[in-house]
Amino acid sequence: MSKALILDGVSKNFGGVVAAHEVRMQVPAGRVTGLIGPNGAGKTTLVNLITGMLPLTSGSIRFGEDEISQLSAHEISRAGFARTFQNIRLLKEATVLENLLIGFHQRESSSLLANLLGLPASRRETRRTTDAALALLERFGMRHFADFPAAALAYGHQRRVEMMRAIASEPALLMLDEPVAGMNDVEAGELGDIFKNLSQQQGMGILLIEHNIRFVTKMCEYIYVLDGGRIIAEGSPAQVVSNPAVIAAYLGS
Amino acid sequence: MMIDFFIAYRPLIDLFLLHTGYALGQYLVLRSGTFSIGSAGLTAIGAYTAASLTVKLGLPVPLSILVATVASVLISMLLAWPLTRLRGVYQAIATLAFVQVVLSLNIYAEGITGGAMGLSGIPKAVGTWTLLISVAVAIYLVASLNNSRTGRAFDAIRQDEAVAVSLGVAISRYQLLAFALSGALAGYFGALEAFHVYSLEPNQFGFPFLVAVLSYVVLGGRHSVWGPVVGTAVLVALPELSRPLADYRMLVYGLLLILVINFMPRGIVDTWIDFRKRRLRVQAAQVREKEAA
Repeated sequence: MSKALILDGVSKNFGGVVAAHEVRMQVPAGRVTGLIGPNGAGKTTLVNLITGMLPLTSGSIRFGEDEISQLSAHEISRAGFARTFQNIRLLKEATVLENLLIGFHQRESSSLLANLLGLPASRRETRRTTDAALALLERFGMRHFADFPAAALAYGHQRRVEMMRAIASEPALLMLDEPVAGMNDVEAGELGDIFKNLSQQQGMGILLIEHNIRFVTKMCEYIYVLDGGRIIAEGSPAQVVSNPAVIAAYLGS
Repeated sequence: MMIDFFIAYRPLIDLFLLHTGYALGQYLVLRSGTFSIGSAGLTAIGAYTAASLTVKLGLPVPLSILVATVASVLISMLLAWPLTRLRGVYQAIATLAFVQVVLSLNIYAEGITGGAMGLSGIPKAVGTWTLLISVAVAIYLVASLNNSRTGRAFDAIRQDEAVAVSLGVAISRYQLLAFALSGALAGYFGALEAFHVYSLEPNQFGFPFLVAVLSYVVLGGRHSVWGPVVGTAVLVALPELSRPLADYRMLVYGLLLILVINFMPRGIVDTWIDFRKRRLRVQAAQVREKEAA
């Protein structure tokens, strides 16, 4: 659990458009690292590169000692990565509980034959996973929503379900793409406490992508600022918010 | 009384059982998020392989059924290789082309398939009991699969591939699996049909067949295993309940599909299950409120 994610010279071009240029970043375990930048800076592209949804043009992405940029997306997930999406992506036909069950997929190991024949191993696994998912719901105070269709939940609750689904597999590294967008300070504060808890108590590395500067500066010890696909500043919250290049990028020069 | 019913409607019951098998095969690929309508072609391959092995080479019936099933599985997996790289309507078009290829082979590969004349003199070795047991086993297998990590992976892939992959689901592996299992069901029940009807003719598994099988699943529902079963029961019984409708079978299917897709997009069974769940939720909420008060 103590491995760091290291991006080294990561570049991505879409035709002539440079979406990421020589990006160097480190996301250590047990801390919340921030990634901010104006709209279109390339933040979500970077997450898609890390998670293998997009191939790199050049550069290297390592997790601890292991190079992961050549792995396919589901293998990267299995290496201990999980993410949430900027526009919440729940399984819309499914209930809250069913949405969480799939989060445990990589923890499950029963064979196809057992699945097909309905052998006890397969049934036990389904029961175990269901219990674990219900326990997770309990922990986040959403037990009574288990059988609700996910699409019928309020926005804030949908965000929570997506986050629970991402942490179900107990990832070593969690990427949160604007997790508190559209929330008020109280709701954001509640989620923030959960993130802090995950990083400090469970040693999870968290990469927090946010627009809400107030929230990022409160959550993170170290922040990277992305603009036009380049890291234009990095450092502690105090250093970053007083950096003239950052102010220019956000407010226009 | 019961016996009379059974004898009078035996052909209909047999038809229902066979088509339930086909519907389950179609259901499996749809469930894994692949819009393949190729199961008609796989059924034809199963039926023709089984029939010609026994009629032309004298293989015992069970062995022919086994070989036919394996052949359908292999061809289905071969089909999966290009298909899992396509999405949505392109998959439908590609599989439709596959069905047309199989139909043409039925006509032109005269040496094996009997050409336009079809194959006849197939021994009748499959009766209602064999069909009933086969369908029961198929339902059990599919239901077990649904309630396992494999079924959950299918559901996630169908609803959102990006989410599935971000949670470590190996999409192409699961879709290959769905194709293999769907091919097994289509081929196996195709082989049963061959040994049930004495003769095969080349257009038997053509476009009307394909639309019928797809309709069973759309009408019944794509989530619960009972969806394809109920959908088949309704659509097989419908022309019998009202004789004048029989001549317009395809018209009725078309109308029903349009109505269901617009007003009950989840199909009969899944809509009903949703309704039940909602009532239970409301009751649970009322109990909680009472306890709180």
